[in-house]
This record gives sequence, C-alpha cells and structure tokens, in this order.
Amino acid sequence: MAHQVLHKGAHARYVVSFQKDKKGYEYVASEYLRLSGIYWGTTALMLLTTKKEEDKEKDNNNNPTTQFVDYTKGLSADEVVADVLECRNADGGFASAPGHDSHLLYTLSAVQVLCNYDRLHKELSEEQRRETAKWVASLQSEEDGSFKGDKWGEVDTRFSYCASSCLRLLGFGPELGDIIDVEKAVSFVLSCRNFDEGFGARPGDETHAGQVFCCVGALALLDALDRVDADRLAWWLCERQTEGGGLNGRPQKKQDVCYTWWVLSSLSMLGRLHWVDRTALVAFILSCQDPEEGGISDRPDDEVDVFHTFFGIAGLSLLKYPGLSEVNAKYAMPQRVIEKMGLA
Amino acid sequence: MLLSAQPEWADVTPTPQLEAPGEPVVRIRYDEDYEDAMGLLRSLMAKQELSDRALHLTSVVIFMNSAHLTVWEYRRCILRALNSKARWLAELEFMHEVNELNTKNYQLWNHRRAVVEVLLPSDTEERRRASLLKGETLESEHTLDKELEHIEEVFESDAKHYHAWAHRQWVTERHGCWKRELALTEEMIERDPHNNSAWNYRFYVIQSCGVSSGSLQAHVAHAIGALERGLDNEAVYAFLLGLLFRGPHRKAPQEDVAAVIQGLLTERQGGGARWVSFQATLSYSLALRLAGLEDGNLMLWTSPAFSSLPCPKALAQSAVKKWEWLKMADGVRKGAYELKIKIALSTIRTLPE
Repeated sequence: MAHQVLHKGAHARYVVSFQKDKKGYEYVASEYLRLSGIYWGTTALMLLTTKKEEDKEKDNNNNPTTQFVDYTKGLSADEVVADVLECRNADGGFASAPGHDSHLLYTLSAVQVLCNYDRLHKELSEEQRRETAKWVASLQSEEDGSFKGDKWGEVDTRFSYCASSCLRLLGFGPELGDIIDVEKAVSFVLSCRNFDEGFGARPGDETHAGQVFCCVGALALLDALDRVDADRLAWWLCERQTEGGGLNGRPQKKQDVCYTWWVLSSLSMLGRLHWVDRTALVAFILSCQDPEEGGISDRPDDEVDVFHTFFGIAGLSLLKYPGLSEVNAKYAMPQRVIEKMGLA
Repeated sequence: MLLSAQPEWADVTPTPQLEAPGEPVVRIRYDEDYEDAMGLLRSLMAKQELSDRALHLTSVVIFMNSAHLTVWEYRRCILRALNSKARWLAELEFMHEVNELNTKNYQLWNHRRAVVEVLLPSDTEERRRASLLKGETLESEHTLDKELEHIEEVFESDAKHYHAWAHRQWVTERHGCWKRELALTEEMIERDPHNNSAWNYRFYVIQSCGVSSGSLQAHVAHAIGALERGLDNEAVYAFLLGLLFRGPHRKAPQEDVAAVIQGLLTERQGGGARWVSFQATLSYSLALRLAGLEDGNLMLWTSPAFSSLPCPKALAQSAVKKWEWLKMADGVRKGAYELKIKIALSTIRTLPE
C-alpha cells in the first residue's frame, strides 16, 4: 500500500518547489505568513535529513544499500538567510515579508531559521540581537504579563510562547528576568488554564491543543512547568486520540495532522509521550500524504500544504519514525541545533 | 484595466514586491490585479495617506487576501483618522462580506473587536472617544443585541467557531450581560450536545453568575439529560467534574453537592468507556477530598452531608477497578490508565480503613 511508508523524497521536492516558485499565486497570497512558511519548509527538510551514518540501510553483508541524501541542499542556505533578513525592520522585529509590520510570530520564525542554519550570530550582531529582544519585551503588558502579537495589540497565549522561545534562542536566557517580567508572564499563562486543566488563547477561552502547546512550551521556557498538573493535562491531551488513530484539537472535533504536533510535543514536554497509541497515529499521518506530488494534508485526501507537511514530519519524528532527525519538542527545531546552542 | 492605470491613482507610483529579478513568468489575471493593488497600497502606507481612497484600496486588497494583517491595521488607522461614525458603522457590512469569503480569520475577529469598542463603548474612555465621532448618520445604531445576534448567526454555520465564542465572552464581560448567556448555551447544547465550546462557555457563565440553592442540581440534571443523547460525551464529563471540583462547588450548599455526587456515583446501565472513566475520576477525586488530600482548606468536604458516601479508601479502590477494566476497553490510552492506577495504589496505602 502506498501509504505505509514516508515518502521523504516527494515531500522534500514539494517543499523546495513551493519555496522556489516565487511568482506562484500560493506563494504570493501567503505573503502574510511567508516567513513562517520558510521556517516550516526548511525545518521539514532538516528533519528529513539524518546524519550520514544513521541513514544508510545495510544489506546482509553490512554494506550500505541506500544513498544518504541531504534534503536541505534543495535550497540555497544563503538565499534562505537573505530572504529572512529582508524581513527585518528598523524596530528590531521581523515581518512576514518585506514591507510589512513586525510581528512576534514571524520574529520567532526568523530567529528559528537563522539558528537552524547556524547563522544567527553571523548575521546579527549582539547589538542587533538586543534590539530584537527589546522589541519582543516591549510587547509585554505591564498590567497582566500577557504578550501582544504586534504593536497593535492582539493578545493570545501563542505570543507568550513566541516571546519566551525567541528570547532564549537569541541567547538571552540567562538575563530573562531582566528583560521581561517572568513571574507576570507565567501568571498570565496560568490564568488561561481552564477547568479541564487545559489552556486557551485568553482567560476563559476554550481549551485547544494548539494553545496547550503554546502554554506548556511557554511555561517550560520560563522554568515554570511544575505549576501545571502534568497528569491531568496529559490526560486531556491523550483523550485527543480518535477512533481513526489521529488526534483532534478539541473534544469531538475531527482529527488533523497538525494536532499530532501540538498534542505530542506537549505530552513530550510533560514526559508522557507513551500515553498515545503510536501505531494508530503513525498510520494516520502516513495516510495524509500525497505520495506522488509530495506534501502532507490535514486529513486523508485533502489538499496538502507546507504547514501540515512540517507538522506531520515533526510529529513522526517525535514518534521515533525511522529515518528522521530528532526534533526538540519545546523549540520545534532539530534537536542537534538545540544541543549545539546549549539550550537542551 | 489594472487599478494603478486608472486616473484616480495617477499620482501614486506603485511600490513593487521586493523580489530578486527572475525570468518573466506568465501569470494569471488574478495575480496581476493583486500585485497591482498591493503595489499601490505599499506606496500609500509608506506615505501614511489616511484617506477615503486608501480605505477603499484596503477593501480591494482584503477581498483578495483577507489574512493580510498589516492591511487590516492600516485600515483601522484610516478609520481612526477619518473619525466618521458612518464609516465605522459601514464596517459591520464590510466584515460580513469578508466573512462570506473566509470565516476562520484571526484578523476579522481582531477587527471586529476594534469596531465594537467604537460602536458599543463600555467604559468612560471609550464613551469619551465615541462622543467625538464626526457626523450624524441616518443608519440605525449598532446595539448590544445586534452584536450578540451576529455571533449567533456565525454559530448557525459553525457552532464551534473558536473566535466567535471568544468574542462572545469578550462582549459579555464588557457589558456584564451574563444572564442571557445561560439560555444561549442551553440552546446550543440542545442543537448539539457534543458541542464542547458551548459546555466550556456554560461553565464560565455559571461561575460568573454564581450557584444558588438548588441550581447545582438543576445544572447537573441538565448535563445528565444531555447524556441521554449519547454517553460518549467528553464535554459533559469535563463540565460535570469542573462544576463539582473546580470552582462553582465552593459556593453551592453542601447538601446539594453531596446529593449530586451521590447520584452520579450510581452505576448507569450500559456504561461505555467514557462514562466509566468519568465515574472513576469522580470517585478518585472525591476520595482525595474526603481524605483531606486535596482542596484541604474547603470546609465542604468535612460536611456531615457526605457521611452516607463510601469512605475514601473504598472510593479509590473502585476507581482502580474501573481503570483496570479501561486498560482493555480503551486500550489506546493504556499508558495513562497504568499511571493512574499506580498513583492511586500508592495513595490507597496511606488511607485509613
């Protein structure tokens, strides 16, 4: 059956062609999240690429039978980095695309990509990194510790995650308490905890797996994960597994590949990844692939996109699917990058 | 004819997308229109033109690509600069049209909040700003009722719309109109008893309105009623556990809480994994509280009203039995049940006979 294996080559081709087709309508219309698209695509390529020694299958005489492939070579690192830097604004933040206002979502994506390519310190001086950090910090509310996405003011726990991750990746972990109000940031996240132990976007908002990831991630990054009842929250998370084997984002909603990531990474951070049925979940993700054109969709037979392609691959990596590089649950970046940066 | 070629835009030079020059590619007409409009918009944003034609241009772009957050923000800047009541009122129709194109749009709901802050001021500062709006308008005012009705319309097409529910809560909190919300959740639950958004909201409404004598039983009875339409209802179980252990119980009369729990502990015919799991959690959570291991400072749990219930040890043991069964009946979550059993057994060892 075509779906029983991960079609690495096809997915790599899909990601590369999406990124390269800069005049294509999809590329143009997705300008509002362009930088995140770059992050999803390039990180996916990195996860598809394992270390040379790991990737080679061996025959009975212990000779390698498959060629090692570096899928990241499909895109020029210099071009990717240049694309990212073009999105940097004078205020230190990054926009989704050149000419747009800075936003936390894209600032995080920018920093993640630069770190993945090991170009952060090369491309941004310490002063510039501090500028970015200052911009991030400026988005925190003095009143309740929440973070806005941009200077215009939308508040959401997603941004608590983006801010925390961004500041650590920029290298300011040791000074975190001087840059933002950590305790207030923590208490805002906790104020979004619901009676089912999960988290929503704002206080009182329904628990949603995506928000749970952001809150668990934020608390982990702010060294406050112990404030969560891990067993109760992990229970809500493992209840996301549906009959089809896939995971949904809220009770009684449909399974969707991206929830694989939000739920699994949360469980991983909580140390309870074994609470889901791995076999059923892997089968579900693989059934969402387009084996010919490449790419992964939210559900079987739907249209593929870079977002679901990345999260499907990242989810499989968390599930230790063979042939993939290890992903770091907290940062959603290759583990080898996080280890090299001393952030593991 | 491209927008930029029209006489109205003669004074503006479009700012192109910052791309590296590549081979000329044949594009479809739609792309060209979008690029052209965006080019004009970039130029206007660069010089911060906050005019009627700029407003119109943002409409054009938003209809072609409604997720563009910078354009929405620019639109708000223009609206604030024009400071016209009629323009703000017109946003209601504009948002309706955009919604027809794409309902799952953070920007739309973010924009809606900004519009509501202007049209339905709720504090001194907002009222002050509203009084400064220019121009009388013959159009009917926007009202709280109309706003709430609009949200209900969104529920017609998507009863679990995350942004719509969040917006509803935001509006209700601003205006303090919690009372009618209980009825809303009942209606939504009647339509679909599995609607987790409705149950989540219901919990917060009850928490805000408080729980008077007898109402706890009524809420629980209503929730049990929803189970008639299917025992496999995660939302109801989360709601019930929330009602009993996460807040509302603190204000309810002790006898009410005890009576309700007593009722829920009764075996139900024909179980099903979710129902059994709920009873196990209920038993165990109760055991912890009766033993003083959780919620320890709440007098409720030491009330004589609970004396007729099984002792903590028995309750915890019954939970373990259920989880053992669930390891097989709900095998997908076997790992979780194993941990629950492990923790419970170690707690049981510390409980008196």
